[in-house]
Amino acid sequence: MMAAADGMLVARAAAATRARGEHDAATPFLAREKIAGEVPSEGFVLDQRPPILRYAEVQDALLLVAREQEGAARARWISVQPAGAGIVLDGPTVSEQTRVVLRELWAAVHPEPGAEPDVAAAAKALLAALTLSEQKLRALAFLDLSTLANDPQHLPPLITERLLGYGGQPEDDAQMAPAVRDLGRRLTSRGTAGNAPPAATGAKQP
Amino acid sequence: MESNEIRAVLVLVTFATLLVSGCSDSSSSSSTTLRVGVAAVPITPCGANAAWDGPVTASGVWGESYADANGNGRYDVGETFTDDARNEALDAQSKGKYDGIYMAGFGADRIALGCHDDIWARTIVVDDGTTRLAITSVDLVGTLKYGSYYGFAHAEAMVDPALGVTNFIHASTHNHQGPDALGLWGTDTVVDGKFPLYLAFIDRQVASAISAAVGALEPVREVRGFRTDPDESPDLRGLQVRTGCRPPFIFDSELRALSFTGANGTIATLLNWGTHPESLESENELITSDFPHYIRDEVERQVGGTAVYLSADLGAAEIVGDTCVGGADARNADGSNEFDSRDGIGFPRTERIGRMVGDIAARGLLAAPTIEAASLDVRTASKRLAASNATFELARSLGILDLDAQVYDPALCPGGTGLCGLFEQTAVTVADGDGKPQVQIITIPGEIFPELYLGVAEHRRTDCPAADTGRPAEPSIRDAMEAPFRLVFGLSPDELGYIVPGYDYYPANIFDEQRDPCDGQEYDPSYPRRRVPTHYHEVLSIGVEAASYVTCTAVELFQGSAALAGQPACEALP
Repeated sequence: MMAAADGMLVARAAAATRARGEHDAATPFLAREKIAGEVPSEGFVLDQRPPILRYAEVQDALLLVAREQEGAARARWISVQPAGAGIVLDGPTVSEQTRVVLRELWAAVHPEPGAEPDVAAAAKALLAALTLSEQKLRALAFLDLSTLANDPQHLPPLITERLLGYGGQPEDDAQMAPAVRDLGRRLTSRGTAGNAPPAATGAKQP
Repeated sequence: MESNEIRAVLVLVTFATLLVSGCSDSSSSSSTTLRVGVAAVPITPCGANAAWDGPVTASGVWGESYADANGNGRYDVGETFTDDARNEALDAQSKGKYDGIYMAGFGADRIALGCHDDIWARTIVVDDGTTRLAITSVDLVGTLKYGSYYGFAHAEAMVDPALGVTNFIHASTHNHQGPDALGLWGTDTVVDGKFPLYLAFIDRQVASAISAAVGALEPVREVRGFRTDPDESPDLRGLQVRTGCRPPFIFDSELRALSFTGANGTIATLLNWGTHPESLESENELITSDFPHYIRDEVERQVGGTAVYLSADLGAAEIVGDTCVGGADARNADGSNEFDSRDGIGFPRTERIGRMVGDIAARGLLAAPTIEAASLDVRTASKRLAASNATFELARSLGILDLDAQVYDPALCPGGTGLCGLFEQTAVTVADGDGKPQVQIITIPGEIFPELYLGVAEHRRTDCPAADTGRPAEPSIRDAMEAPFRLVFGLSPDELGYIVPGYDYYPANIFDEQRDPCDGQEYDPSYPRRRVPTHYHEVLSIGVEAASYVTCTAVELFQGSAALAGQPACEALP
């Protein structure tokens, strides 16, 4: 979803999300901090298409937004976050570590014009995101790493090693550790076999 | 696949032993040796219920008590609550988590503020003298058979073996206005939304429904069957839409209904239709069974008996007014569709839809010919599929999916990693005295796209050759069934997510999130509103091979393993 966004910011909902008309819902937000890209300043209305992410009044959130021009002077801000990808924050800001990781990821996904996305840099940033304080960001990072792992070339041995050892560091998420280590094992088994990515599914009689 | 995995029970009961004496009174030529019982037990999480032993909030909705600091009538994160230790005893992760009725479907944190109409566990038991089949439908978004502390297997274990039930079929209607029974809709998508005490209650109620239905068994005098046109039903046209207008814009539009009549009139009806029960959409905060409530009510009003509704092949098939609106489809001769808008969403509109569908089924049944039903043939298959969608593994890891550790042991799947899913399917054939199939049923453990039931070779996208992944077409389930009445029970027993045809399956990617090669393009000049959307369904699909597994298994159950020869999608399976 980051690739589809024009910007990323921290904002506070000024009122709860409400359905609006046939095709969308709206949430008034107050921008608090730009993380990356092009973002609204001060107050703005975030539009969403169904299914809707519901934000409560006075809720702080990390938003991924796209700008849609309406006439010469007016911009409409659209959420690019699919259902379930709301990133609600415990406070009005993110930590410096989170800020740095998100900007690294943003830069990898939004290269300079003419350049390709930097997959290696994205993988490195996603690995770092597995230790961020926001659980939702850790979960999204895991899912994105799993997607990248469909092509093992995206994840070099150093990253695989870290995945295999995940859970051993104080900043690691103990709940997610089995899934992360499992991802590492899958990558290792593919590497050992020296095969192209195998079919990720298989059958066995119970 | 090995045919010895299929267990078959085929019993032809002689008419002389069980023939109901009153049958000859009927003016029809129908004869049946069946007995049928039915029961409806509420699972509504509101108010008083002698079977409920958990806490009730001030609003009357079941849930842990809390201090409503902001006075908005619902629990909000940060408010203090009384953590009921009985929930923790069932699910250790419940400790410190608010347990209440989070509504399933759409976004997170949609907590119920009341109950509009009952949601149910409804069971019909069919018995031919040797086989006793219990079919249960619950008004839930979906659930699991083998949960760690809940699920249909737990309910089955509560049924007295002396009742003699030989086979169970369980299914969820996919109701998007019922409690979360999977865990995906808590305060956030990474927070379990299940209420352990309530899920244990559901298991007890399911067991009660099965037991009561067995206790109510009575001889059947007459079985009637009705179905609308399988490919185009004018009465139902425009009520089904594709999610986001996803092509191909086709449906299994067949509405199927069976009625079982005894000495005192209609005992039960069985209703089967394929579209998402989510007509009340995401803003509703009252528990309800959505339009199936009104379908059942209308059929019961006109035909009598107790109606049991089961959702069919509803993958990507949504009720009108959902995401593909504003001229996406016509309903009337002038091209209009009174439901093709989100403006009127609410209970009156839901009632109109439900009663209209119920009326079609009821009138059809009352005018339908009888079916000769002499024997039951029940076949089951179990296969394993390692999930390739990391979302499922993450949900298991976080304790959102509470899976039975032994049943879902990763070691049982090749590679020994990831979530190892168990696919169970059941095929039922009701045959006449000559053994000729009259009614057939297939169960599907998820939300299968209709083109997989109808046959991908004939029902597929033609708008965008570039989007074809090259995976072979899965075989048609419908074509493998021989009976005139063919029913599909979706989300049975499990909700393992969307089952998407392989040729159109696009897994998620951080740089290209399920974008279609023809994203945004129009694909039907008659309906400019229909444009190719991004691929949403794969986000909640256990894996691309799921389609081959369920279609090939269905074909094998009905036709035998020889029928898989020459089917590339089946031969490619491990």
